[in-house]
Amino acid sequence: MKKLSAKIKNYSFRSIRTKMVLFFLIVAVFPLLLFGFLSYGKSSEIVNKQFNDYEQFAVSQLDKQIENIFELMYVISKDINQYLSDPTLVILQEEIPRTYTGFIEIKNFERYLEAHKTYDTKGIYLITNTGYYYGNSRLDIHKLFQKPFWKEINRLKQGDHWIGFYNSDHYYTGNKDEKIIGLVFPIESDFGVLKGSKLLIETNAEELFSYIGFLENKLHSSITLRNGQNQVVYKTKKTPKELTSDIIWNNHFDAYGWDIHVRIPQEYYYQSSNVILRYTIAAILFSIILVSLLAIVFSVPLTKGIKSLNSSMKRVSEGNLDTQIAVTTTDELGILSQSFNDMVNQIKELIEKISLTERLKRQAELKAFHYQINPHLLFNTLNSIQWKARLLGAKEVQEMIYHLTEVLHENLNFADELIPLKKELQTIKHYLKVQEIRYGQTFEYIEMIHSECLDYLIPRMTLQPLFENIFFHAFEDGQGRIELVASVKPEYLELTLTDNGKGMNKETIEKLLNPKHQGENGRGIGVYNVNQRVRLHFGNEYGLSIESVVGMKTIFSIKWPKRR
Amino acid sequence: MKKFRIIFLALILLFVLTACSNKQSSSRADQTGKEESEKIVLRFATWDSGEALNIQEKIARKFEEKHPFIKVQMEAYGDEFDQKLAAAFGAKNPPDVMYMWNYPSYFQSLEPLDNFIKKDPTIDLNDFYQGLFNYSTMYRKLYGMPAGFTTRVVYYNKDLFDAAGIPYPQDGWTWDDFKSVAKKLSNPAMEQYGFGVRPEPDTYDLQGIVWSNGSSFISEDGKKLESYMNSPETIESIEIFADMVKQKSAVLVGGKNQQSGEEVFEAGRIAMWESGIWPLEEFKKAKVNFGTVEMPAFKGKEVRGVISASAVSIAKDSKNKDLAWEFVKFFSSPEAIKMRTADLPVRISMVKDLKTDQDPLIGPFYKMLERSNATPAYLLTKNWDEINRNLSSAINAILLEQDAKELLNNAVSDSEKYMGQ
Repeated sequence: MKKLSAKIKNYSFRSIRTKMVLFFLIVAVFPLLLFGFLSYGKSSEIVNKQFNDYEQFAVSQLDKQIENIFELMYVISKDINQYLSDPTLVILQEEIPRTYTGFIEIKNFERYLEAHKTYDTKGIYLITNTGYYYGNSRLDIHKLFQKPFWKEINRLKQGDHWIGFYNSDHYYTGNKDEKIIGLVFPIESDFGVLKGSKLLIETNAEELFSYIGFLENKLHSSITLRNGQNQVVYKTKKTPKELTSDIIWNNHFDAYGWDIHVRIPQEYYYQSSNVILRYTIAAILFSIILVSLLAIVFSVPLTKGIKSLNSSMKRVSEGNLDTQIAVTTTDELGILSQSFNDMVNQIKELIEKISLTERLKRQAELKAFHYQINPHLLFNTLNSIQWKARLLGAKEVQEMIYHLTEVLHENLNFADELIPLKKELQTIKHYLKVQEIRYGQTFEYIEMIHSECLDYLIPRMTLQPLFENIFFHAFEDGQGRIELVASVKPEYLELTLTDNGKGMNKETIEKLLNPKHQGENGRGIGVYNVNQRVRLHFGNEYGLSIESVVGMKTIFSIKWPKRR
Repeated sequence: MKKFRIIFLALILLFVLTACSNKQSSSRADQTGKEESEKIVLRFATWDSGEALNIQEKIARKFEEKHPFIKVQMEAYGDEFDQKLAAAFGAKNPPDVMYMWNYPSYFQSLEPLDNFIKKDPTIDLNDFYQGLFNYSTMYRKLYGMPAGFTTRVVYYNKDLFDAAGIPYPQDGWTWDDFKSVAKKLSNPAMEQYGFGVRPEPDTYDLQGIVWSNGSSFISEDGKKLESYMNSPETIESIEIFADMVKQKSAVLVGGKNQQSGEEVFEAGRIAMWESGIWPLEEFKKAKVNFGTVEMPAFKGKEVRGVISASAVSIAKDSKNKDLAWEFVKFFSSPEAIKMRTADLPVRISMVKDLKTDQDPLIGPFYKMLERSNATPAYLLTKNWDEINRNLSSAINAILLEQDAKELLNNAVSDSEKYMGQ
């Protein structure tokens, strides 16, 4: 497991594209998930509430409808019962009419019954003990008596009533399979024709059942109706298995003892919110796909740029410095590519420079080898000469050789390339001694050295070639004045060497510092060398510069950094 | 790379567009739904059920084919026709077109058709049996186009006649013939009778017989009952049946708690039965070997018939009277009449074309139609319902073997209070 995650870490986060896709995904999906599920939660709550209200309303409508039908039939039955139980209104002399007045009475009574019909009333009949009935002639009373519910009717006590559903097949005319709600009410009359008679009121229940059908089909509800005897009078066919999760409404009519029981499977109840959920999930999936596509589309050029940058870098690291990236865009990647190109170019230049200086160093070293004389031979020989001079009493010669030896010691010491300034100044002292012995007290030498300078390093044998140049080119017979000034600047050190010799023109200065003219007449090789060495050691911003006024003076000035 | 991005953007655009176009197509679906709901709805109320209702549905669909912008909404009120229609008129929201027979009760809520007929050159009233217009005319205005009718004939069971060796009754027979045939075909011991009498007949149906005897229940101006309702001729007409029952050459059928006359006839326990077109198909289905014949005549008097007519009318409160008229016209067009196989055709040309009246079973109905030109009582007075209660009580009592003269006199005197109002 750990290995795997490590692998994944190593593998998948290596590519910037994966990172981008992931980043995009997180940025897109997280808020989407958050808002999606927030809105889902909210809207499903609202929808469920609305659906619940709607259901409540629908079920309460069913209650209302049933109750209204019952109520209406009940009111009619009460009204007719009251009319019939009033002893002052004995309206029916004979049960089965045989006389003119008998027929008129019955017709009037039947009119009275018909007058109670409302919009949905199917029929109102008064059925006597013997099976004769009053009401319109559409009723097939034999069929009615054969109906199962009629057996119960005979057990009805006064004051009770019966309500139930049945079909309309006991009518001569019309549809035989209309649904009917019937109410049977025993008339409370203890005398005459009406004793033991029952009032039958029938209401067309098609509308009610179409509403029940609507509840069953549209709301997937199962409806059970029970009458006062707790018998099931209606039950939805094909009811799904009852689950405890079902949503249930119960209503009980106290007045009639009926129960309405409506049950809706949970899945249908939450159907609407499930739709919202599906849509939310679909939206999230869609955005994931979209985001992935977008991430891929937009990361491809980026990663492609980075990849090409990468491969270019590889090529450069393998040494191909002619590598250049084609810059196509102006975005950060373009700028990066541009800078990379610039960098490669700079590296190329630098390397060229370095190899050039290296070459020059090498040449100088070769030259140095070339001029190297075995120091032992030289010193031994000079020693011998010194001794000879001493023996001969040539004091000056001996002294000259001594100073020369000191200068040469310095000159031939290849151990340190850089030495403190004070050491260089000592060497110069020896050299000047040699010149003094040679020319006598003909020149003036003034030194103004800032004490801080003394410990700073300077290339070996920097000053000697310049003095050489002064004695050999600027002065005639060693006459003149030399000023050496060393001063400390904030960033660097400066040393100026001023003589009041012949001076030189621009051309000569140019020649002195230009490597092309070296070794033409042996002049200036030292000066050029000094400049070269300072620059080689410290960089091109340092080195030697020469100012001169012909016939007046020459100023050599050296700039070099503070090093210890 | 850029190309790829453009393609991608194009794809997204395409997706959005398809989403939009989806919306459009769905909205187009909405539009068709709207068109469905924008159709003009014509409501057509009928009292029929079963096969007759199916036929009317088909006629409505046919009409919709011809007028695609109309939807005909059938409203089958069945047995509750009167109660529902009255409620609809009361609520000022009646059906546009409806079946109608009881013009005295409803004509004030109906639209007279005369103006439509005047303006419409395509309608030919002369092709209709003129007698039918009587039944939908109130105060010289026509309120309904004839849709169906029936006259009354005598059905007779050929097998019973054959078994008794009696020749079948012929057109032009008399009530004496009728009575003697009934007597011959009766065997009370076997519960076998020549004729079935309704103990509580609809007085409307008896009018034909009363008219045939040269009388009527009410004077033609609707102002007098005396010496009409209680005239000797009227009394004689009613007594025929009471006497037959008394003499056991006829039996009471179809009263409350009794088998209907049709059932008894099908069972072969009565040889003759007087009725309209309604049971004819039923008898055929029941494989009864039967014939039909014109009503008998009183000696030396012409047979008169009574028509039970139905017509289609337009409600005064209809919002689309012109379209309603189109539907009424179509309903009485040959095309629609041809479809109404349960009704007798009301157009002369069609009867001639289809040779309907040549059918031995149907012929007598058309012969009776030609003999029907009197106006039924209910069209002559506003208060016929009240008067009729007395009349029918009297007749019911007469059929139970009580004195006809006295009872009809009672009925007249009890009804005088409703006259002349």
